[in-house]
Amino acid sequence: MRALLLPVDGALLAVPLLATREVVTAPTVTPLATAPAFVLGLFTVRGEIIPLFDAAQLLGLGGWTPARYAAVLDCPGGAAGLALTAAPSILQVDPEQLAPSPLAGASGTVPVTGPGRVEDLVATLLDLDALFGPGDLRLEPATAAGAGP
Amino acid sequence: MAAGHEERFRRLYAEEAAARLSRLGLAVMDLEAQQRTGRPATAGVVDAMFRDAHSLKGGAAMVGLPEVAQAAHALEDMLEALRGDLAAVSPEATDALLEALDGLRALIDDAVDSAPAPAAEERDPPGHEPPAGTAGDPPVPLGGDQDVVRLPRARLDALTRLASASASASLRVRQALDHHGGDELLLGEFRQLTLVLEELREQTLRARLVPVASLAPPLARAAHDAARRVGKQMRWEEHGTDAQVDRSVLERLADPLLHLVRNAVDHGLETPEERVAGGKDPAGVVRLAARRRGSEVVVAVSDDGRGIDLDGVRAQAQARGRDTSGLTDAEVGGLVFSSGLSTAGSITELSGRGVGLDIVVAALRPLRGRVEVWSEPGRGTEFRVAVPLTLAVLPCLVVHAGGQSQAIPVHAVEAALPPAPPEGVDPAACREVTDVEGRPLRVSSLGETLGLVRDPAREDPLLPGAPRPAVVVVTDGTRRHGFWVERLSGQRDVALTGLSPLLPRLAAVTGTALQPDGTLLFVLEPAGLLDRAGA
Repeated sequence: MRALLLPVDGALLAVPLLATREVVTAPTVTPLATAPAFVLGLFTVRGEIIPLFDAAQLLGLGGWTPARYAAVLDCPGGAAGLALTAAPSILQVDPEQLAPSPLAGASGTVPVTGPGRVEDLVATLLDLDALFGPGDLRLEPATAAGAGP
Repeated sequence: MAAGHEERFRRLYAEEAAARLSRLGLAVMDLEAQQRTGRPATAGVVDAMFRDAHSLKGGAAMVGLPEVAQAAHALEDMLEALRGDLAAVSPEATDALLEALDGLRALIDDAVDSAPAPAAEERDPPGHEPPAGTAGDPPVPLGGDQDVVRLPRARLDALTRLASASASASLRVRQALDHHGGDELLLGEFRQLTLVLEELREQTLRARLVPVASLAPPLARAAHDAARRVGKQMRWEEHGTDAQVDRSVLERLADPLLHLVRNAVDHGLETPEERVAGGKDPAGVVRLAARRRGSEVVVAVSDDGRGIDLDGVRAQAQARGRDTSGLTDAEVGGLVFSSGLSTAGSITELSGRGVGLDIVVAALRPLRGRVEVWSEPGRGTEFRVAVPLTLAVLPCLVVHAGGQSQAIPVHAVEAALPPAPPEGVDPAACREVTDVEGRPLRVSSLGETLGLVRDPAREDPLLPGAPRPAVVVVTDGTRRHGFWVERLSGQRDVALTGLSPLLPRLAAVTGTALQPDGTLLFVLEPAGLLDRAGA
C-alpha cells in the first residue's frame, strides 16, 4: 500500500495515498467561532468549504500545528483537511510491518523507509474510518500520550 | 433480475406507489363527499381510481411482490363493482376502500423495509459528493404525465452549492478585470457568462421547490379519520396549494400541519347536530390554503367551526397564574400557543391535552417559521404558518465582528441601533444601553461572545478614525440582547452551506457561505448566541 507521510508538529503520521485528494500549500484558514481547539478553522478549495483539523491535538499529542500545508482527505464522513508543518512525501507501506499504535484512531505504526528518511523513524498510520467516519461525531481529542519517534 | 437491482426497483416502485395511494385516498374522500351531498358518484373519478389500482397491481407483479399484487387485485375488484353500479357508493363502501388502501400501504412498506439496505455505492453519505465527471447511479426516468428524474438530495445540494460558488467566482473575476483592465470583447463575454451563471443559480434553487399540494393527501386523510372518530362530518378543501416551497421545508411542515388539521376537526368543527341548529351545513369545511408572500410561503389551515373559546382560554391562562386583564382578544387567541393551554374545554383522544399548539411553535423554530391565529366565534378559526421559501437562501444582516463577517438571520434581528454610548465611554466596555423605545438593553461584544479575537473596536474605539461600533439587537422571541459589532454591512440573501458533518455541533454557528471576495461568512444561530451571551 502506498501512503502519504505527513509531518505534524514533530510527529510523523501516514494516511493511505488513495484517500488523499490533494495537498494545498499555505491554505488561508478562517477560524471557526466556538469550535474546539482541534479544529483550526475552515478553508476553501474551488468553492468547497473544508474543515481543517490539527491532528496533533486530535490524537492527544499536544502542541499546535501551524498550517503550512493542508492535506485534503476523502473520508467516509466527508472531506477533511489535516494541517501539516512541512511538505508530505510518499511512502511504501508493507502491511506486515505494521505494529500496534498507542494512539486512538490509528491503525498502527510502520517503520519509515521512504526517500529522504532514516530507518529509525516510525510513522503512525491513521485509521480514517475511526477518525472521520460518518455518524455520531467521535471527534474528541484522544488522551493517549507518546508519539512515534 | 439481479438481487441488487430488484431491491432498487422495489424502492422505486414503493415511491411511485406512495403517490398513487395518496391520489386514491383523495379520490375516495371525493366519492364520500359526493355521496354525502346526495350527488351521484362520478364515473370519471372511479375510472381514474381503477387505472391507479391496475398500475399498482402491474408494478407489484413486475418487481416480485405477489402479495401486493393480490391486494391490488382485490382493490380492483371493489372498484370494478362500483364502476358497474355508481349508486352503490356508501359510507361502508368508502370505508372499505380506505381500509384496502391502508392494507396495501402496509404491505408495500413491509416489503421495502425488510429488503436489505442499499449497497454502499448506492447511498450518498452526508457531505459526500461524487467526483466530477462520474455519473454514479444514472437518473431513473419514471413514467407519468411529465418526464421526471429522481436524484439523491445530496447531489442536488452539491449542485446548489456549486452554482452559488460559480456566481461568487464570477464576481471575483469581475473585480480582477476591473483591477487589471480588459478589452471590450472580453468584458462583453464576461457579462454574458455572469448572466448565465446567475440564471443557473436561480434554476438550481428552483429545482428544490415542490408544491404545497404534495403534502395534502396525508393531511386530508388525517382530517377524514379524525372526523370519523369523533362523529363529525367534514369536507376537505384546498386553495392555492400549487404554491411552491423547498422540499426540506415542506417535509418539516408535515407534523405541525397535521397537528393543526386534527385540531381543526376536533376543536374547531361542531357536531352535525350543532351545525344544523346553528343554521350551518352539517358537514364542516377544513381547508388547506397556501400563497407566496415575498420570500415566504404562508400555509393556512382553517375551519368554519365554532371559533376559539376565548373566555375559556382566558380562564385557563388565569388559572395558570397569567394576568390576562390587559390583553386584547387577539392577544388572548395567541395564548393558545403557550404550553399547557388548549383550544378545547375537554380532553379527547385526538387533542385537547394542552399539547399540540406549543409543539407547532417549537417545530417551526428551526424552520425560522412563525404561526398566527385568527378566530371569530361561530365563524371559524384560521392558523397561518409562514415559512421561508427555501432554507438554502437565508436573508441575513451581515456585520463585521471578531475580525470576520458574521450573518445574523433577519428574522432574529429586532433592531440595529446606531452607535450611542455615552460620551467618553468605551462602547465595548459598556454593558447596558437604552434602546430606541427607552428600555434598558444588556449588551456585549459579538466578537468576544463568539470567543474570537478581541474586537478591534475595543482597542480604542474613540480614537479618531477608529470604527464606531453599532449595536444589533437579537431576539429569539422570548429573550433579547444587544451585541456590539464593528460594522454593519447591510442585509443580504445568503446561500447557506451547512457545516461539515465531521465537525462537532456548534451552539452559535449554523453554517457558512462563500462571499464574492472569496472570504467566508459565518451564519449565526440566534438562540445559541443568546445562550452564550447569558441572555
